[in-house]
Order: sequence, then C-alpha cells, then structure tokens
Amino acid sequence: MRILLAEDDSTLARLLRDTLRGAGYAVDIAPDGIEADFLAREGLFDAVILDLGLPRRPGLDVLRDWRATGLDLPVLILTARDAWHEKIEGFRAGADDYLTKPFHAEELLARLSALLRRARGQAPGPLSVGRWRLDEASQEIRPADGPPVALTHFEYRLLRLFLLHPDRVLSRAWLEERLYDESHEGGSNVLEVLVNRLRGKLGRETIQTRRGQGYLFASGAGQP
Amino acid sequence: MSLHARLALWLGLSLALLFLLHGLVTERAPRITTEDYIATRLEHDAEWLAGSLHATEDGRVELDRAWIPPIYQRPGSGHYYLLRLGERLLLSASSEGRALPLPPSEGLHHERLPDGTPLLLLRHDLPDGDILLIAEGLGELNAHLSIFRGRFILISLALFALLLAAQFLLLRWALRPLRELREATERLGRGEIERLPEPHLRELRPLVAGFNGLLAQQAERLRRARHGLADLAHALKTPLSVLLASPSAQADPITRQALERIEGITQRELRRARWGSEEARQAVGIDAAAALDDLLMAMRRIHAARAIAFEAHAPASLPVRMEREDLLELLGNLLDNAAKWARSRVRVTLSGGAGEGLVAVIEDDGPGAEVERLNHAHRRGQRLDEQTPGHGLGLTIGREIVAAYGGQLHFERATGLGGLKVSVELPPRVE
Repeated sequence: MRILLAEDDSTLARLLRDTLRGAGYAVDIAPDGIEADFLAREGLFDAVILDLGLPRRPGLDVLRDWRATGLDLPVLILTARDAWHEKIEGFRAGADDYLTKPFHAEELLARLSALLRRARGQAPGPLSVGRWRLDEASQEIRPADGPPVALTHFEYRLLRLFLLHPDRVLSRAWLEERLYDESHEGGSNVLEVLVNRLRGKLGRETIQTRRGQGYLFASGAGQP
Repeated sequence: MSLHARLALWLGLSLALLFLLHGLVTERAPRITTEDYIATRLEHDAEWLAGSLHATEDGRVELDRAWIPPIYQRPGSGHYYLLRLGERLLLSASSEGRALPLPPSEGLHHERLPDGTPLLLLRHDLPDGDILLIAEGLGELNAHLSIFRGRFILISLALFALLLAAQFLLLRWALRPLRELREATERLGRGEIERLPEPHLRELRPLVAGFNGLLAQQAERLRRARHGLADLAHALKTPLSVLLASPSAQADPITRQALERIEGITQRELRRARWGSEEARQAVGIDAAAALDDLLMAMRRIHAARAIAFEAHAPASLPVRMEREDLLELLGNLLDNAAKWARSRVRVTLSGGAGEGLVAVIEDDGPGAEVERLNHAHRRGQRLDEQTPGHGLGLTIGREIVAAYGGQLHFERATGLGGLKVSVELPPRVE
C-alpha cells in the first residue's frame, strides 16, 4: 500500500519513511502543501499522513480543498498542534485521525493500520480473509490449521494488498503502483516472481492469473 | 447611589423648593391686594366724613347725618368710625358703643376690637387736634382667605405629586439606553452575544465603540498569544519527533527516556503558559453543549479503532463564561483519559447554567483508579502524573484549568459503569 507523507522537516520525513517502509508501506514524501495537493490528486495513494505546518500552503487548507472536491482518501493529521480546539479544527476540515508530535512510531503505525482498515469498512483487529490471518507485527501469515509462514518484506506488502481486496481482479499496474514508491526501480518481472513465491508458500490456487487482466486472491481456495 | 436616584433626588428637591417659594408668594398676594383695596376705600370714606363736618350755630362741630353712608349706621356691619372732637367722642351706630383702639400715629394699622375682631384701621388727624378713626373688620376676609389657602395648598400638592410622577417616568425613559446597555453587558457575560449592540443614544456611542474595540483587541491579543505558543510548540516538537524516531533513540533506552521527559516538560510548560494568563478569567461566555458536541465528534474518530461508545447528557444549550479553548482542553483531556481506560463506554453529563456555573461528570467502565490518592494528590503538592502512571497528564491538565477558573475537581468510583468518575464544578464567574 502506498502512503503519501506530507512533512516539511526532511530529517523527520526520512526517518518516518524508513519506519513506514519497514512496516510494509510504499512511501512518497511531499515537502510542501502544493506538492502534497498535486500528488494526492494522482489517485495512487491509500492514505495521507499530513503535517499542518506545511510551507507554501497550510495543511488544513489543502485538506479542506480535498474534501470540498470529493477526494475522500483517508487522512491522518500528524502535527505539533496538540490543543483540543486545534484537533477539532482538524477533524472539521475532514481529517480521519489525528496524532500529535512528538509521537511514538508504534502508535503512528497502529493508527495508520486501523485507519486503512476502517476506510475499507473492515473490522478492527488482525487482517483475516478466509482461512488466512495476517500478523502485521511479525509480518507472518497464519493458516487456520497450520504453523505461521514467514514472509519477506515485499511478499508481505503484496499479500496485504491481496488480503485487503480479496476475490477481486487486481491489475499489474494497480499492484505495482501500490507496491513501490517513486524511488523504486522495479524490474519488469519482479511482480511475477513475487506472486510465484507467494503461491509456493500459500498454495497454487490461492492466487489466480487472469490473462490480460491481472491477479485474483481467492478467499476460499488454497490447500497447501 | 444610582444615577436615577441622584437625578430624582435633586430634581425633586428643586421642584419642592420652587413650589414652596411660589406658594408663599401666591398665598400672600390676595391678602395684600384686598387690604390695599380696603385701605383705599377707608381713605375715601375718611375724606367723605371729614368733608361732612360742619359747625353749628352754637359753635360746635357736628357730622351731618345725611352724609353718613348707611353701612356705618347698620349695627354689626363691620364698618366703623370714631370721631374725637375735643373731649367728645362720636361713634358710628354700627359700633354699638364699642370704642375703636387709638393707634399712636396717623396712617393705616392692623388693630383689634376688645372682643378680638381683627380690624384694618385708618387714623386721620384733623385740624385743631381732632382725630378721625375709620375701620373695617377683617373677619370675613380672613375666612375667605383661609378657604382659598386650603384649596391652594391642596391643588399645589396634587400638582407636585403629578410633576414628581412625570419626572420619574421621564427619568426612566431618558435612562433606558443605560439600562439596555447594562442588560447587553449581562448578556455578553452569559455569552449570548459577542459584542455590545450600537446604542441609539449619541452620547453612548463612543463609549460602546471603545468597549467593543477593547473586546476585539483583547480577543485578538489572546488569539495571537495562542498562535505564537502553537508556533513555538511546533518548532520544538518537530525536532523532538526527529530525535524520538531516530534509530539511536530507538536503540538506547536511556536516550529514549530522556527524550520522553523533555517531551512531557515541553507539553506541560506550553500548556501552562497557554491558560495561566489573566485572560482566562476575563473570558466571555460560550455554549458548553456545542463545545461538547465538537469534542465528541473528535473523540469518536480518535477512538474509532476501539469502538468506544460515548454517551452524552447535556441540555440543548448551556452558556458558561469560559474561553472556548479552555473548556475544550478541560473536557477533552478528561474525556480522552476516560476513553483510554474505558472498556467500551464513556458517559459525560453536563449541567448548570450561567448563574450556577458548570457541572461536568465524566464516567468510564474501565478498571478505575485509586480515587483517594487522586483526591489528595494536590494537597501534598504532587502532580497526578507523578503519582499515578497512566492516569496522568490528562488529569493534571484538567486540574490546572479547573484551578485557573476557581473550580473543584473530584474523583470517585463510578457506581453505574464501575470505572473512574471525575466531577468538575466551576463556579459562576465572579463579577
């Protein structure tokens, strides 16, 4: 999944990007309000982490604009403004969650994950589809009747995308956009390799190929 | 003393003085005029009588009876004369034998008959030492005048009362803009309006404009101070976030702990500066119920992942005299603390009003806390976050805001929900 991080402090932005990547997200950084607005409207992101004190254009203005023009992607405000009247202002502008600086990385990840889950109308708790349950902390997949299966970082990212959209055909382009951020130089067959490795771990039937369209994660299938 | 009372008193007194002077003059006027008229008549009669004196053949001076006006001949008519000719006294028939008193000098005199009847008496000296006294009784005139005076006093008193009443109404009408201004100030205090309305009275306009200007200036200053502090907070917090997120801090627990302490101190001191100011107590009124609605909207989103049910009991509108930011901060921290500890439910109850201040009760169904220690922490000069890990900063902030507004914070076990129950009582603002 791909996250837009709008943060003007480059050190903090870099550290946060590393943390988020470590948790399996693709991350793009927007250093100011105008850039954030431009990137968010590309439609590539699953969520935005928005600082309010952005240069060139205040974060609240950008957020209000998004909501006014019907852009409804989940937004988590990450700011130093910690007074309750400021939080209310943020929510009124259309924020979905609000976290104040300084913060702990674990809390940010927990809130981001819950926010993405909520945005898809999924119940809180571990992500589970069919007989599969994804452990976000250890980045393992557990079948209902077997030992947990360890995943590599990109396997985890890809599998989470499949689990968030089960039984739907997902195009190669769509998957690649969400798997990698702009800094990533992916090879042409990297996705295919990853899919094959997941099939090896979860069973051939679990991920089906739809020729010319993409891949589909079948929630009911996949005996190892 | 009120302006109304002061004006009423002095206007009333001057009115009374005016009536008194006017009354004294008016009361005397008829008597003076009438007595002048009587005196003229007496002089004419005296001349007439003196002219009717003539000498008889035996050399005596006599009055010609044919010349005497009939009024002097009728007994008890009230018109008398006495003629002293040498040793002889000639009395009018009306005198019925009673001699008139003899004043020491010529001219007009107030005298009395032996029976006490008041007289206006003219002594007219004739040649050869003869004296003519001529008089008219004033009894009837006095009776008329006393009736007139009685009526005059009655009418005057009625007029005076009427004028006083008119004056009272006039004052009320004239001072109405002031009364309206006072009511507007009270409404301003209760938070029903944000500035004073423009008065109709030209004299009051600069006053109200000045007051409104001051109000706006104050609000702007407060806003700027808060924004300045928010900027400072932002400036400090981002580098702190960098440090907290940095791999070195993640790896080293000592660094991390120190950073967390710096974080706590920064937040506390910024908060203290934010509401420790004098402005907090000059706050204008706001609607607490609306503020609570805003907060619950935020709370439901912040605690969405845990599906906490927030239950609110508050009147449709609840004016309190507080800075909106302070009220949000107070209720926000208490609600957030309750939500953090609650298993599934948080209940908030607001009551009170402009006159009674504000009562807020926040309960949760969490594990509760050591309420005795929370209740006594401040007496020993301890902060709650030092005493009770977890139930910390939020309650400390709540306590500091409540203290700034002169209120009370009380902790007990929530009987219904089973967790912690925090009661806040804020007194009505001291005028």
